[in-house]
Amino acid sequence: MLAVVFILGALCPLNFAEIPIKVLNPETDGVLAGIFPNSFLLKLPDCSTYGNKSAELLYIELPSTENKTESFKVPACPVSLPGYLLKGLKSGTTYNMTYKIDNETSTVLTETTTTVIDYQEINSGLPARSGAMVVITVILSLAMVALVAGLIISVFFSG
Amino acid sequence: MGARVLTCLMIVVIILNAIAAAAGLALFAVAIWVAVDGYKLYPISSVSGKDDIFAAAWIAIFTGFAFFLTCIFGIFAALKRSRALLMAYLIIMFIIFLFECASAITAATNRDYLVGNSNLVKKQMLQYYADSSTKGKDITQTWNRVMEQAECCGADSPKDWLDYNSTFRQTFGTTYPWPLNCCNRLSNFEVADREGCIVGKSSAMYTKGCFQFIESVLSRYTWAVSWYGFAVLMFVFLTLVISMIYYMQLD
Repeated sequence: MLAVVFILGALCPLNFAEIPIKVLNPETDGVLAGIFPNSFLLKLPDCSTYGNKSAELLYIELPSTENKTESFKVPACPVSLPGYLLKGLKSGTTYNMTYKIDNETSTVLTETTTTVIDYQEINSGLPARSGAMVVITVILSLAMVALVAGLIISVFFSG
Repeated sequence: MGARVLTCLMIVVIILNAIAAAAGLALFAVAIWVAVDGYKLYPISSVSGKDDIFAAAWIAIFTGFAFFLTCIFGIFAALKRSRALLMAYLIIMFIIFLFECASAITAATNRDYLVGNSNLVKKQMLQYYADSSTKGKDITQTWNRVMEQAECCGADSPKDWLDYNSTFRQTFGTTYPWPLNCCNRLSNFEVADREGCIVGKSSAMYTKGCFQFIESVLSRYTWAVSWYGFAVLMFVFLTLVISMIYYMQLD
């Protein structure tokens, strides 16, 4: 019985295996960021399994249903680039992305591009006074007053 | 007062004035070092309109040398035991004291404006880098030099170029997320891994921010002018108090 199950399992078509798709993670993948305002940095399909094959990346800008495609060639091992850069996107928009190589597809990845803050909104006013500045100002002001007092005393009260 | 005590006081005044003269000359030299700006960061303060660290350095050049000359005059006045000369010395020293106070306080205050936190430097970089105005060219050259010298990118990190809108993004944003000066370079100045740098590979670009370098240089200039100026002023204060006592004992 068990042998039958194993044989059936071995005959299972490999089409059901899925290509992994994800956005690169700054902490684990050695990149600065995976999600940019106008692009995504996606993990490339495995170079040993899919090297040198032509692949397609299908992406949809939600909420529309218009399918867009980017064709590229999966680089052979060893790979120099950390991932595939999908460019030309709009900031603050959600996209659904899928890889398609030969007849295999990956799961659908849903990610949103980051929004960009205008630099005019950075508050560049005085943040705070440092301790050094307060000490120097206070002590020097006292010294100036003491010197004025000393000068007046030495001019008018000397014997 | 006894003649011996008066002589003792005269010697103390002469010694203190000699040391103050040397300290004043050193202040003159240090202030010249700040004014020369070896790290060439002056555009960062001039474009924001807050260049008083360098103005304070110029004042300190004047007051340092004036302290030197006046203290030598003070030694001469003390030796001659002349009341008139000593009074002239005291008044001139007091005026120089006031100017030097102004220099020390100005430098310390302006440093707080510029590098208290990274906001001003960051906003300036985003606004003026790659701008074609005169200010833009100055800032672009300065930042290019800083990025190469300190091996850094952005103010706090390269993510500043991603999180904020900037003149650079409007001009080159579709091709480059950040300037190519952020990329690792070989010893012959060529970019080591251009594609990796554009994509953000950590090993192909500089990931630390430039604010720490800029802050440390401007702080070093400020401490040279304001803390050393403060130290000289405290010593001159002591000298003046003892000179006033000596003046009051003369007849």
